[in-house]
Amino acid sequence: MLLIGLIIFFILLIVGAPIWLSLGLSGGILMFVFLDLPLEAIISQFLIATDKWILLAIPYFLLAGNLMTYMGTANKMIGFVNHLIGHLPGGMPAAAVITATIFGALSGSATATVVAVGSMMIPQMIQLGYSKENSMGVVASAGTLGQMIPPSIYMIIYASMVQIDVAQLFLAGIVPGLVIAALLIVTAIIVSVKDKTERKKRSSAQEIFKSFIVALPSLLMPVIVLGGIYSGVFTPTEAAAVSVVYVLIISFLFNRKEFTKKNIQKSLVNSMVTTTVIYLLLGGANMFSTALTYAHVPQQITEYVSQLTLPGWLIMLLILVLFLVFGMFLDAVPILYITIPILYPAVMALGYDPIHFGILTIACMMISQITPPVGLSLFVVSGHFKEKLSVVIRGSMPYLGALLVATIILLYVPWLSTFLTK
Amino acid sequence: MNRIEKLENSTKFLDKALEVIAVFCLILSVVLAFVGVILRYQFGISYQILEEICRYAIVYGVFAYIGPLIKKNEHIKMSLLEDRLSRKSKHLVEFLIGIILFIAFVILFYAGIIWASSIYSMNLMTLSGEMLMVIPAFAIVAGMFFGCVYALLQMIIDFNLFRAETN
Amino acid sequence: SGSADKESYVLRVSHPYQKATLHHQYMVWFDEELQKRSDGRLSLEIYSDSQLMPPEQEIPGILQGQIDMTHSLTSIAGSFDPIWYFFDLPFLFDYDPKDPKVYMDSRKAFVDSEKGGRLIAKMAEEKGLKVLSLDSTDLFATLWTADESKMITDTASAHGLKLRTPGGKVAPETLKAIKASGISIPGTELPTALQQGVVDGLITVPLYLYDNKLPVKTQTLYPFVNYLMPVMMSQKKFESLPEDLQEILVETGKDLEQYAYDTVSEKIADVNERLESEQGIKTYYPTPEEIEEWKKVTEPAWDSFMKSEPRAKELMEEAIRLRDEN
Ligand code: NA
Ligand code: NA
Repeated sequence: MLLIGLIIFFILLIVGAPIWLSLGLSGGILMFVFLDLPLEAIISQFLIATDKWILLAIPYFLLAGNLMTYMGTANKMIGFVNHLIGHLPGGMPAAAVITATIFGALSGSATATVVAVGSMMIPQMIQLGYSKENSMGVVASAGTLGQMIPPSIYMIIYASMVQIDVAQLFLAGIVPGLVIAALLIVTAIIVSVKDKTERKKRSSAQEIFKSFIVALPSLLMPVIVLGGIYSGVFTPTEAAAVSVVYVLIISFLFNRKEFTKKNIQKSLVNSMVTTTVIYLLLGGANMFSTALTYAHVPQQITEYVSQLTLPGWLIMLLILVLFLVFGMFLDAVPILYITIPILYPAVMALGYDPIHFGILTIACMMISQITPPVGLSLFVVSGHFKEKLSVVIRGSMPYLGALLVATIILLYVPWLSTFLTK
Repeated sequence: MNRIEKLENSTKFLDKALEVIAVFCLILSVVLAFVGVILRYQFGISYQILEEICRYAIVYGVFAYIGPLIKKNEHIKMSLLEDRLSRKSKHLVEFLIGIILFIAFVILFYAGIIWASSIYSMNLMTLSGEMLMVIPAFAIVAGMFFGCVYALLQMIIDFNLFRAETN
Repeated sequence: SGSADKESYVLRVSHPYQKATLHHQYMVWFDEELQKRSDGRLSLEIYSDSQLMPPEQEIPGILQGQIDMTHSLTSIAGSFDPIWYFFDLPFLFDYDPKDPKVYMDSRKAFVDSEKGGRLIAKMAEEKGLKVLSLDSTDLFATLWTADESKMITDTASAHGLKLRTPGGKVAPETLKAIKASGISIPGTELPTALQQGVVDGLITVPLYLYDNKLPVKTQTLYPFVNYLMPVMMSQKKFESLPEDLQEILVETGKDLEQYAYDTVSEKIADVNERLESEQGIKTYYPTPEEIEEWKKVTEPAWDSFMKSEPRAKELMEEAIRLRDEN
């Protein structure tokens, strides 16, 4: 019975049906045909999956990120980092990582980060003689940082699924995010040595100062968002709404030229596109995972795993490998929805900390975005900058290595993930 | 191609209307969430119903946008196979997926009607106790309806594209 | 499992609580007793942690046939039939801040009464639900603050406080009566909200707070909200079972009430001492004068509930009769 569900799922997946449909149809057939549940059980999953306060942070953070990208607010920040370190050896790719880190702290969306950072940095890097591969690879990889550095849409989804405080998970992501950023910078410098580049002219102190002042309103945003959450002015979901208002205000004050109806409209529509894609997926995935729960699959796996005599770290390593394999073929959101209901109880039975497991999961989801053949970040760079996918893939390989190393470090040093929250 | 263009244009006003609804819902939700912060922080007031409107506005927006999303074909999917197919077989596969999508929406729409009328007849309220549960549920029924319409249209377009390749 | 033997029945139960909670433990006990008493012909398949659906979908889920039974909560059952919000009324049962047994007994007396708990069960039957048990996992909900200086004593001390409420229509009315405001915050965001002062405190039950170690400093013993956990199944499903199994369900449900009473009585006896010694939470025991003042001030909550739910009249009269008997 279960096998039939899985076969339907994989066939639909492979022929290229929308993933929400593949999940929903196999889940729906399991529920209706094999578990003898009423039709109401199927359709109600769409409301059950999406009717959560915490998930509202998704459209809000998406909107804030899109507004920043389309109204030019993001460019000011990128300009500042570029002025500051662009002239050093490997400086431009390193600057790309740093801007992605800062932008990651403003936005929950990897796509917004890649588009914003890439639009400004990639042409400059190529012009200065960095290889196309490296220029695009570094942006594709660093673009994933936004999911580890709060706010993060994947963290919101994880926290809503396992019912933990997303503010805690946000806090926990800061150190791992910085560790990963540091590893990416080191990688960027090593890789870039090979490229025969012209160094960018060193900016004068005056230029740096000027660009800093211009960037200051955007740089203040993480302070306001995270500061607001941890000083108790608002909750993470509300912080997302506040950040939308903040971006609108600073764009209106300092970017009047790009504060146009057209740009605002574009940001709104784009945010709704992504939100609809995610919410539909949540509905379909909920049908699938609820069917599995009715069929006792997660319960049995938990029982099985907790009876295994393997050491916990080895099981954990296997789980991470499973994430990586899934990550090659699927996007992060369906992976979370398929695996977490099954794996989370098992991992808890092994005695792991929910926050630590959350951070490891997010790290794997970052990796999934740059592993071929299906990698959202790869697609965005290749699509947005009109370059062959293979070029982007080749360029991001060294950084993929760095992310893998980072994940292993995070697995064996749980302290990195938990000490801020204790 | 003329026929296909005609088909695509046939829902132009509906596309626009649904997009406007979706965008309006997003704006409404963000504004109310922001108002909620101000009310609580400045005046110490909080309404659970306000929170529910924020949530359900997005649900309405999302399900209103299902149709245009089908048209834009922006679902997350695996494109491994499609990249390897000839144009003709590609259109055939898309047509077949379109049929499945259409059937799925019809079933979901039908299930939605049963479900919504059942919770309506129960007089079920949301947790704030101030809104009928059928109000958010209706968003999903409506979304599935537009899903049917757009999936059918897409199916016809894909079929025509396939036929055009055959000739 | 059950499909081989036509005589045996497995009922699917959904509830929102974690496996470590009393709430779940009761269902495990219920399952074991049912199996024992029916020689294995009747058993439960328990889904905890909202695995299948959120709590507000459980009752519709029963009526639509997705599940067979729920161990719900009165304040959630209220979204299906507002009469259940009756238990959210403050000072509903007789109580003594120093002696939890007084409350336990008077709540039990109401639940057992034909014009009390049994009447509500009858109202549920009219809507297609069979109430098997009205148990409880805790005492009444008391008032907690995160800051020691904001400890609640008389009604004036509560003016202007922002307290997190569990939802429903009644608790906000009661808060309005004492000039405090109710804030709704999702449970997962609550610890941070308390620590950072988004809210000054909350309304919740003591055993729950003890187990979940929320960052609060004071407790004040006013019976602000009463929680009962109805075990319900669909009347139709119930009637489709053989009569002897129906009897076993009803009897075991009644015994579950007693089992819950004993369990809570034992745990609640020294919880305030343990809250103080282990979590540093000070408990305030109101004086009889303060209790009278609170009762009076919060009366508008009764009036407005009465206005919206005329069916509550008989229940209120019974509660008052039992309360004033002592
Ligand atoms: Na981020
Ligand atoms: Na991938």
